[in-house]
Amino acid sequence: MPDEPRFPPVPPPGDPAGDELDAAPPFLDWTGLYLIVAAALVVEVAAFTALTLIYR
Amino acid sequence: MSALDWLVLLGTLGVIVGYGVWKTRGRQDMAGYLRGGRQDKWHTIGLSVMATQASAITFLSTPGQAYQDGMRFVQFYFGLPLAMIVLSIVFVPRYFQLHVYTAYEFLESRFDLKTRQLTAFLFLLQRGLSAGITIYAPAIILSSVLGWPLRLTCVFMGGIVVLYTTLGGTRAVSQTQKQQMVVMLGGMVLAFIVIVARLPPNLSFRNAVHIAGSLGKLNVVDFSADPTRRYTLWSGLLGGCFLAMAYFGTDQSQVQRYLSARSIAESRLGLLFNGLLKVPMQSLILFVGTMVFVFYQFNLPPIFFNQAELARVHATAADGQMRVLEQAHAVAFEHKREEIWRLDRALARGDSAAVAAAEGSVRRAEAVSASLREQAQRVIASALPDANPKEADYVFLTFVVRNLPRGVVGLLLAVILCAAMSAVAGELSALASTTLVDIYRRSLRKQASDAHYVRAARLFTVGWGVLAILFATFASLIDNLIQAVNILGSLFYGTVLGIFLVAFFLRRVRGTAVFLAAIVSESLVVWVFLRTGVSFLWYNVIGCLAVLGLSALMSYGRPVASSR
Repeated sequence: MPDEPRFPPVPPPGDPAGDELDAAPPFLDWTGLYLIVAAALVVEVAAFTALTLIYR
Repeated sequence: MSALDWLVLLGTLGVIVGYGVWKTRGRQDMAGYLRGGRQDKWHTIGLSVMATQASAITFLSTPGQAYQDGMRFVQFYFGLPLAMIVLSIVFVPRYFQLHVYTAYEFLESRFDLKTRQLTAFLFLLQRGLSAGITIYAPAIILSSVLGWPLRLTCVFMGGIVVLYTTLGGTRAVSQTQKQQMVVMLGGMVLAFIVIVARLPPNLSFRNAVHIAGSLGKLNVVDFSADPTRRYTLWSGLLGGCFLAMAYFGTDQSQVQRYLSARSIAESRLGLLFNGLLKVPMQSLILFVGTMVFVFYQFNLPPIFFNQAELARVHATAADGQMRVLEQAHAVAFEHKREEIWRLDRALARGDSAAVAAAEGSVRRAEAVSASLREQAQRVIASALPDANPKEADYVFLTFVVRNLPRGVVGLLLAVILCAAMSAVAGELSALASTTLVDIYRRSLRKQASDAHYVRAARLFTVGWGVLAILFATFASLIDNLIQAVNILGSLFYGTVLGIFLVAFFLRRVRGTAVFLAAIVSESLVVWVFLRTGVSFLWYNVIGCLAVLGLSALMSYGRPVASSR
């Protein structure tokens, strides 16, 4: 097989696979969900830091 | 173990396995067998992803780790939620776009066959060996504490998993994992409630937490920048994020879980669900261990939790020495308990000067107890050179069997067996898929019927299952190999992740460049492992960045890849 640079094809407009890529979540939007996961981590790290400082 | 415990244990396992087999009965085509017919919803995906990662050791060792070292291990999981976000944005759409069965298929469409088969081979090597350890590790502890025959335990656990994984394929794995994860989470919540209820009635929960904190069990976050320290905030966030990206994004045992989602959205939601729940779940398990520690501040703990090894020492010439240490340990315990009650009374009065003084006394008393336990370990090591001097794995199970009520013991054993079975099922299913798709169908039998490939996949599942059981059955003879396998996994993840990130982001890079970069990077990781004291979480960062950097360097000035 020749060693050529390749990239997997992107589905053309109207292709169901392409539509699925853009599908919205059943609640909120993707950015909102990502922010919730990241915010939960920040809260957890802050809570554990507080616990550590209290009992240091 | 009581009849009620056996009933709860076997009933829980029987219902879950029966449900999985019943739910996936009937004929299946290859897509159905390997990807579950893409029917799963996000909660099934999320629980299934969590169950695949949670092995029995998670529930056996983690509370023991908190008992001995506090809750700092939770930092290991801090990078995981970030990795779930990256996977949802970058990895999932690409896998779904190409309708792949395995992660490694993607690499051939982007690079070439040799890169695909290199990563598939590394997966088969590492997962094939670790499947046996996933069975063996809990079996050795269960057999030691409960007196179950080791080989029979391995064959029983492995045999059930092989049965339902072979019959129902990926869908049976996901369906059973969902139920198993519910049992695991419910069991740990119940364990926490029962343990707290077993603390002295006149001790408030708040004071129990304070006692744990005073003895260093709540020192969770370590801000040290020292790369040789195993768990720090930075290694957890950065190294843990790279490790989680590698494990969840490139290890087929995980990729297969979210490829069975009915849509990209369900797949992403499942991963985010995992990202949201993982840190709280691990915190709960560690906190259970912390409460077991508090319990043993009021109830005399054994001087060494591996009771089978302790009994062996008593049968040697070191018996007298050990008895003296046990007596001293009991006296030190009584003194420490008095000091802890003094601390409790000072806390109740709100007298901060008395609290500080009592905390100092409690810490000194704990240092005396710890010193006696260390002496006991040295006696064990010298009397029995083949004994395992580490007892963390035995703390939780010994506590459960000795102190929890009938029925709850059976449920917690079901938690441990569910964890072992869910992890092994995920591994066997992924091993069979990779062998079929990346080796057999790609290189050995390209044009065959769907029914032929399903039969072959079933055969590969049985084959890998039998190998895993055999490995587990004879693992006690090859202890060094077990350590080697555990190290092997952490050595390859960073490099494999680097290959995938190059595929996604560096469009100039060709197959040969990334292949060579991977080999050089892997050599670098092995050198870091052999020659430096750098903690293993950083290997993932080093391997991944080396592949990215070297690939970019070798491809500088080349044309950008175009869509095919």
